[in-house]
Amino acid sequence: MVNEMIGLILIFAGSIISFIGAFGLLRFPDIYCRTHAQTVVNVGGTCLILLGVFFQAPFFSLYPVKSILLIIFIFLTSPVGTHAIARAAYKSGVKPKKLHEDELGYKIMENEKPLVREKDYEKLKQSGYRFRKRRFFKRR
Amino acid sequence: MTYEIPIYILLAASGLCILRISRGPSIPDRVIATDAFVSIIISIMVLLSLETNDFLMDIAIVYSVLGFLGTIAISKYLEGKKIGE
Repeated sequence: MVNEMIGLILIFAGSIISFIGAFGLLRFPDIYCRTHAQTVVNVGGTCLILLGVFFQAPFFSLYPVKSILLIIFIFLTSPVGTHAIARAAYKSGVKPKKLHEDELGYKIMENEKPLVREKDYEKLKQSGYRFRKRRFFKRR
Repeated sequence: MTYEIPIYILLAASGLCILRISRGPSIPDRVIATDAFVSIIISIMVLLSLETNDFLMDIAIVYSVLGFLGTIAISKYLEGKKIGE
């Protein structure tokens, strides 16, 4: 009886949290903010619902084992996917809206060969240019 | 059926995700919204599997693997590399 009550509360909380995350997916202004909302849907909503299923299901069956397995899998794969897609978004030329300092841009410019000549690059770097514009990424 | 109300809330959330997929300005937006949509469908499947048979749970496990592989493949494609790199 107590187990079923705990499971119902967890399932309701998970569904409401995933609705809030999907609403934030509409409201946030930028990809790098929307990754936050997507993580709320993935980890907060789905893992709470799976915990509720773990409490709700009959104990001597395969439901609790499978739900724990899915929770472990989601905890392993969700940060990997979010990190990969954010890095790919930066490299394919989508910039954040309010950007003060662009450190990954500096690193990419130092590792790969830049479009501008090296003298101009040093001069720009010394004059405090922040690499906000997209013209360094036209090479692809 | 005590799981009707959470399933309706999750269906509304998946509708919001479909809105973001349809009007996302860039490709990574759509990929992120698709990932959230996949996880919401997984939770709906798990809730339905409590009412009916056992096999929807196995389908949910396989579907989560497929969503993860799709995200990784599209991010590799956007970076300009091949899969093995």
